[in-house]
Amino acid sequence: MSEATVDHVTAPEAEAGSSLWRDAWRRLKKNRAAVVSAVILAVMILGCIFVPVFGSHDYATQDLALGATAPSGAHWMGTDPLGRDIMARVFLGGRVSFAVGIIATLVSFAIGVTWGGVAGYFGGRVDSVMMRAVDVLYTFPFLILVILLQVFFANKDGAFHHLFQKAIGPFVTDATDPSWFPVFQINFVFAALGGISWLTMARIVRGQVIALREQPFVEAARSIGVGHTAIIFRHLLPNALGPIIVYTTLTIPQIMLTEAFLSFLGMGTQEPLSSWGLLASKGAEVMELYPWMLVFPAVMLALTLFCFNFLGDGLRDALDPRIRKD
Amino acid sequence: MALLEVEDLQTHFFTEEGVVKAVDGVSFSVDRGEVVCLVGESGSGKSVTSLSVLRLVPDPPGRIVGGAIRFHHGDETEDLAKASEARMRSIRGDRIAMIFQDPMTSLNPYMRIGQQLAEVLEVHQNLRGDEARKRCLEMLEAVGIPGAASRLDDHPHQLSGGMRQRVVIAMALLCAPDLLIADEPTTALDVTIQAQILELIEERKEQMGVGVLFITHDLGVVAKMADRVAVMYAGRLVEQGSVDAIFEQPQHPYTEALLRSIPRVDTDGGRGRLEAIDGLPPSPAKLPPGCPFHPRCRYAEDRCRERFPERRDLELDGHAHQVSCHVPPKERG
Amino acid sequence: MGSYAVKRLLGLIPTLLLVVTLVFFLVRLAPGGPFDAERAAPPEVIAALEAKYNLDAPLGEQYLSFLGDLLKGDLGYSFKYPGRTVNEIIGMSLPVSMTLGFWAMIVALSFGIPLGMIGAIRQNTWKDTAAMAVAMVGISIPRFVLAPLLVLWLSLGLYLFPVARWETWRHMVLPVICAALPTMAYVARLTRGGMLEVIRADYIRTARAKGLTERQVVLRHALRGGLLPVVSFLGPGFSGLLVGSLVIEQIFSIPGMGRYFVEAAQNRDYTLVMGMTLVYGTLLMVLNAAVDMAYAWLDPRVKLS
Repeated sequence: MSEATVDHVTAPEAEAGSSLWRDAWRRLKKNRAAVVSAVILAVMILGCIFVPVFGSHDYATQDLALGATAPSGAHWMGTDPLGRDIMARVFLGGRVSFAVGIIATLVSFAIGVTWGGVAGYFGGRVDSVMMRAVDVLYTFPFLILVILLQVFFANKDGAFHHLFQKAIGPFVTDATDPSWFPVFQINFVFAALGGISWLTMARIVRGQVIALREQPFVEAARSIGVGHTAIIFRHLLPNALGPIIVYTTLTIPQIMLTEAFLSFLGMGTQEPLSSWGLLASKGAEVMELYPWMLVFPAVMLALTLFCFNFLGDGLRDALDPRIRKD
Repeated sequence: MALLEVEDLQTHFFTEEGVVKAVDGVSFSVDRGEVVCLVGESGSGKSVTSLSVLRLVPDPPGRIVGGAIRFHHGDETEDLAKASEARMRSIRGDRIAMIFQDPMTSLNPYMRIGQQLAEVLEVHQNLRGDEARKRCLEMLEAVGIPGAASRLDDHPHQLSGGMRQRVVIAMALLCAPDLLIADEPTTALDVTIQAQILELIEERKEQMGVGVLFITHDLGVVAKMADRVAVMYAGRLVEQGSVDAIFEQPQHPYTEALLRSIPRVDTDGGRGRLEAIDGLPPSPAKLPPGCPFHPRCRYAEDRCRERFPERRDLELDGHAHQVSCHVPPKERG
Repeated sequence: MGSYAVKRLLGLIPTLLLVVTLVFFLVRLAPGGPFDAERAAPPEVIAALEAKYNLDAPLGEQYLSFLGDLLKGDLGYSFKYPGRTVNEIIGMSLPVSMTLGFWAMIVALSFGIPLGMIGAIRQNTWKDTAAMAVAMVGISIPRFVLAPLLVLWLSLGLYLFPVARWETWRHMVLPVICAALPTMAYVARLTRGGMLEVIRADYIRTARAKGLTERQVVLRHALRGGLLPVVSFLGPGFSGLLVGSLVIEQIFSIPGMGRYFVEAAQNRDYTLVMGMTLVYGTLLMVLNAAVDMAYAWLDPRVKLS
């Protein structure tokens, strides 16, 4: 049978590599929900950075004579029973929530990308051992362990607290100052949440790397003697970036939610610091009397999660045209 | 006698980038016991044409916006372009059946072969159980599947590509359709398997007298299968006629170029040079004005750039022949 | 399949042992002891208590005797609920949590799957937008925010349901809704995504070309493949519900495992923490194994090995 086909007659149209990102950007800009979400998030993050700096109230200053008041001109979001300004506490809580979300995601990103990249690239026994470990860890009751860690280890004068004091010792005047304790606890949350969120990332990265490993451009790099590390970080990961970005965007709200959940149970961020979960938990206790204490942090948290999820969806649709909505 | 007459069919896709005229004024017919090959490059609209006949073009974004699809069966004639959805369902798989390109993906991976076959009988003939199973078994044997009885309980992934395509063909023939539409049924298969599948289709055609609309871009397949050939370019039908006339006396410059691009051992002993067609096929969203082939045509004149050529009816070798080109072969320099 | 199930379940034992061992040493290595809170207690009393629970023995010995008791199915006495064994507490609280989790999963699936199907079949219409908006709200509002708001509205505002406790079906409504909503939202999104992927598959076109009605195409051909992502989500989904039940039980004062677990952790009730971790771990791993088997049963191309 003849091998000649009509398709052979013409050369396929050349695809420019960079057009993938340009197309993705174009598609993302057309997605109104994603753009609005990104803007809201940006405003929110700026608010969390600047409101505690320039706001007229301090998050910890109490005014017992004032007590709990409804939103007013002086206190836009009202005050709590200790007379503390809710708005100052909400925006400081935002700092903590965003910081936990972003830093813990970076931790999970670093572990997951390295683990998955190495497993996928080397394949064979290395891959099967590394991914078997991931499979086993997947079935771990992780949050249970985090709660236990949180309760048993994130306490004053515990081994980890001492470790933390030693670590910051050279950089601060007095590491044993009790005001550093909440900071230690937050760092503990970062590490714990990051440490349990990397499994899916590792799987995604591995899948991408395996798909890309056999591509001609990797063969080409290998054939001219480029080393393993350079191939993984310079050639494979940039090309696997799409799904990684999408998953990262969706991990941030997941972790913020988990932090809020832990704080709600009294095992995350501690007074006098605040986070949205902690504020919502305090608000829920008194919601019949002082509903504003629940409503503001709850709305901020839900809105943020909402925006991250919309943005993540938009990025996925933009970066993975195969499964995009239209 | 004509079985299917497609007249001035227009199927357009309404996308964000604008209206794509995937099929734009296509007319052809298929007779009983005849194989008509629809030939063209990827994106020329041949698959959309075949899906239009069964009204399976995804809507949105696609829609049949004009023309008639006249289907003659028994003493009746009906226009499928205007038939109700319920009427179309009773025709699909029963009077008109379709074979798709990739047997690896066109069978449901989660269902047993037997279930997938029997479903056709259930829908159209209300047959179930042992009787349906018996008919499926007979059909699998007729299309040459060894150990057919045990295959009924297999899932598609347990079969090779060639075997799967036989299953798809068996599924299409179960209700003894009048018209079979085959959309590149051998493209995804190995060369030796290709030949077997083609023979199978030809054999069933001869035994059952079914008309076949065969979509392909492989001119070798055309030479083997076709009674008549219709050539599509950029959503238009540019030439059609008997297979001999198309191969020996092509009237359209595009057909001519296509033929020059395949090796022909028979005529010149393989001494001639192969030629590629210059340029690229136009994007269906941005067709050039006039004859869409003019930017690549070596005979193009001013009028080719201005308007699409009228169809001219000729007779070659005693067969009707149509071509849409401003420049008759005699005037070509 | 049967022998695979047995093998898979046996394979869980080392992982479980790992978890249990980890937790055993974790709680004991942590600073502070279970009886620190009782400040008034003189040292002799604490020593007596520690002796009673075998806490004064060397760690290795404690571990071995714990494993020995575990083999006999004895999880020991709770520290904080004197006179009650861990087995008793689990026996009382586990059925409560299972009931809550079971109904929440039923609600999540029976609303989430249709919602996702509507989204996929009526893609890009207002029905799709509405269904996905509901799903987006569901995954963005934490359970502990939703629960107080629903209580405020439906219990304190409209007096439809009791505020808390776990007695009649009316007590179950709000906790089940709150536990189910986020899970339902994930199920809806996964169903929609899976169905959209499948609906474009060639074999769906084949099914249409056979002359099946749209309903038959969806129910017989698209649903099975489209629901596979939901099936693989069931594992994480169950663990999400389990964790979610921690706050739900707290908020609605439901005497389930979640509440006991949180209390046990805060009170350093070693034996209770161990027992609860063991139950949670086993539940999660068994459910995961069951989900894997369900997946293989649904997708004939997957081989269990």
